[in-house]
Amino acid sequence: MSSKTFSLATLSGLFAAMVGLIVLVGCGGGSSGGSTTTGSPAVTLSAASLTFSSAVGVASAPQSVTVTNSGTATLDFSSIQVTAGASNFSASSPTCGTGIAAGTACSISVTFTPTAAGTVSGTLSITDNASGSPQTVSLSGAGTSVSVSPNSLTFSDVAAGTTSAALSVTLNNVGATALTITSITITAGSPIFFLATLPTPTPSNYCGTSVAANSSCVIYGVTFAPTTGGTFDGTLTIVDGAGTQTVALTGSTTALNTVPISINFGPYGNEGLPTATTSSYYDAIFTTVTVCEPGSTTNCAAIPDVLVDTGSEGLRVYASQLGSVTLPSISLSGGTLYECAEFAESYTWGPVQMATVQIGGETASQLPSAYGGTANSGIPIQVITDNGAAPSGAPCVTAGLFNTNTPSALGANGLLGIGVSPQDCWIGGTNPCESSGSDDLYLTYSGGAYSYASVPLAQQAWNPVAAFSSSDTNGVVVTLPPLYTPPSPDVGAATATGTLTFGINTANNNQIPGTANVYQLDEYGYFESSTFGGVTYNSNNSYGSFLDTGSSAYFVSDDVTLSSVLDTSVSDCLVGSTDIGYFCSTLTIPLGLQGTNMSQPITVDLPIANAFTLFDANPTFAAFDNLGGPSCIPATNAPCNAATDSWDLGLPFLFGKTIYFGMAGTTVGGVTSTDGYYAF
Amino acid sequence: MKRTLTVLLMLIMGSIPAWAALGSDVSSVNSDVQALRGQHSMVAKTGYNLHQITTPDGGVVNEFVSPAGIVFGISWNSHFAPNLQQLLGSHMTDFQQGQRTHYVPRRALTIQGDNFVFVSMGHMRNFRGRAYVPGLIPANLTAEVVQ
Repeated sequence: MSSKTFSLATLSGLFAAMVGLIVLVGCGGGSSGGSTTTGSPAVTLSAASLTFSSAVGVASAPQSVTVTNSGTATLDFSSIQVTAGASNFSASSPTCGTGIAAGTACSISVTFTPTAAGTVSGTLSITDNASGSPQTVSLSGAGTSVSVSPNSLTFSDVAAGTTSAALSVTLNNVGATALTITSITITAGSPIFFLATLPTPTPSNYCGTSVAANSSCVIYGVTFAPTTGGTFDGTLTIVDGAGTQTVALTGSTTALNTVPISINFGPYGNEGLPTATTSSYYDAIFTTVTVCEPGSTTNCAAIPDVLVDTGSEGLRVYASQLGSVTLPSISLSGGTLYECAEFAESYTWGPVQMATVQIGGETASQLPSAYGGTANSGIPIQVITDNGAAPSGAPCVTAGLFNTNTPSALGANGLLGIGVSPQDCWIGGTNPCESSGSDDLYLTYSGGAYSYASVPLAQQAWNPVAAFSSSDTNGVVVTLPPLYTPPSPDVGAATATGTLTFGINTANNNQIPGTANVYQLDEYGYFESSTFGGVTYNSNNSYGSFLDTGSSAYFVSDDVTLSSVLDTSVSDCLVGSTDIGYFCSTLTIPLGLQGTNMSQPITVDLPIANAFTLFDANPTFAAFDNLGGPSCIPATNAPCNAATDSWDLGLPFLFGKTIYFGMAGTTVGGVTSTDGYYAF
Repeated sequence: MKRTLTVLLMLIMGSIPAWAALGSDVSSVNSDVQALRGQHSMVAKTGYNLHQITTPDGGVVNEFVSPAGIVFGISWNSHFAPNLQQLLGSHMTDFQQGQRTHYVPRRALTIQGDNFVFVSMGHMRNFRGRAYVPGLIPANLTAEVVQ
């Protein structure tokens, strides 16, 4: 948002400057017209001679000569050109034009492109109306018989700890005799830059000890292997019979702690406008997660289209996405550990297994030693059984939750739960999954039957962030650009991309700005309270409100309440008589949000557009920052007035924002956050 | 770390009497207590009795019983999704019919029908909600008591 505003301001400023310039020229023209009749121009040159060196057929770096009109009248040029040696030297002078006013200057750029080896000379002549015309600059150039191409190499977006693809440089000998190569070395920047061994089979044109006349050879294997993040410079130097040639090397790393996130229809594409029973997956945000056998870097599956979910904890991927990757199961109390993970409306069923997890440049290959982790033992993740189902007595089943047992049912290849808790059954400092007799998430399978299990934190599905080997374990940062720039209409976009950054205040790219508000959460990961229409709903005795990238809209209140408070008619979108759960009204909802550390709520405005208008205008769009729906869906056509007072600020809330999701048990602003926090 | 392990075969759960709370006689509260393996307490409120079941994991289920001895509403606040098969009884069908046939991720759901109102929200680690039968709410009370 701010960069767009800045460019607009810059443009309007530029326009104002242009108006001013026109006015000045208009005024100044008259007065200078009077003065030109009395004075005379005078020429001062910044250099009397220029010296160049370049390989035959290769343009040198340009050098410039500044022409200053030190007289009192306009200096008019009749020509600026190379009058001797024009086959080797060239000049251009776009800023000089046909003349310059008294007291101003312009620049002439000269380039040397030798046609043959050896030294040549030339002359640059400036013909004008000043005394001493033409003024001249002596040119001298040394043509060499050897060149390198390109003369600089750039490596970008290379992850720290990895090795770039190898690049090549061509050494050209345009001389009439063979060129002896003395050495080819990295003279600066080693060992971050290095020369790899020759490819196999060895190319016939590699640079050995000499290059034949009028021939070239290739220097293979120029490689960038950063061990830490940053930008690095280096030099490749070739010493040969014609002298020394250098190639400038520049390499920059991808930030280790970031991964791209993108909003699109996901692996199943655009399923068309919503019907009574189907809907495309709007406002779903995905990334790629690599799951490896513990400690392996080769037995891995890179799984795209994994849903990024700040509303849950733990990585869950479908078994069908793992290919040949085989993960070890977890034995507990004589059985094999299974989980039925519970979401608000759905569940995922399958075993908990140990894996090494890579996201962007971050890796989780073991639990902290305090949890019994040893090198390369992996972290617990859930492997969802395709087409499986939890046993009929399991809590997720008796709760009537929807079984998302295929990627198409979920609309994603897995779930990356990166909420504010380190494990999926760690709640306000307690572990109810380890309490006696609890009907919880975990079961063990043994002897043909499932049993309830007491599961320590070390065997629960882990939020992978909490187990990263780096220091970026204290939270995540989600950044999404604005979807539109006023005054353009807010109609959404086909897709959108952003950045998921790991760690908070651990690197330059994840610092909480001083302008952000920190909202400490309660033990369940909710705001302490939400305030709407003058009524404050405290999480302790009402329902909870929270930020959630895994919710695909603003899910808020109900039509009756909204209509009353906002004094406008609020209705839901209907397909036939079926309420599809989106608002078909245009609203701005002021909502107060308060953390447990705050004495007053801070009000945010939630903009909501008519969903059918959005969908109909652009049926191919997947990203919207103003999609909303009621938390109350009537079973009949009667308006709903039984809202939960739960404000689920889903993905639309994140556009144009950078939001920090701080892990429970970490410190922010010198204060320990017992149950996690948001900052934005 | 000392661990207490409880092993219960699912078969035992399946053998629990199918009496359920919502819409049933107050005696059904006992079967809920048994099914949830909870601790039971009762408080007399103005116009109704509040039966509270505390589950082993610290969750709370409230059952609202009319002077006529009928459970007209329930509510819950727990770490895990509640056993609605047990708590809703015959109204489980109303709940299932109200669920949408196509899953769209959201964290709150309300189903409002003439004979059954269901409100739920939550995310992993906390689930809250309530359900009631409007026609069973005593005349001098409103649905607001079911919280």
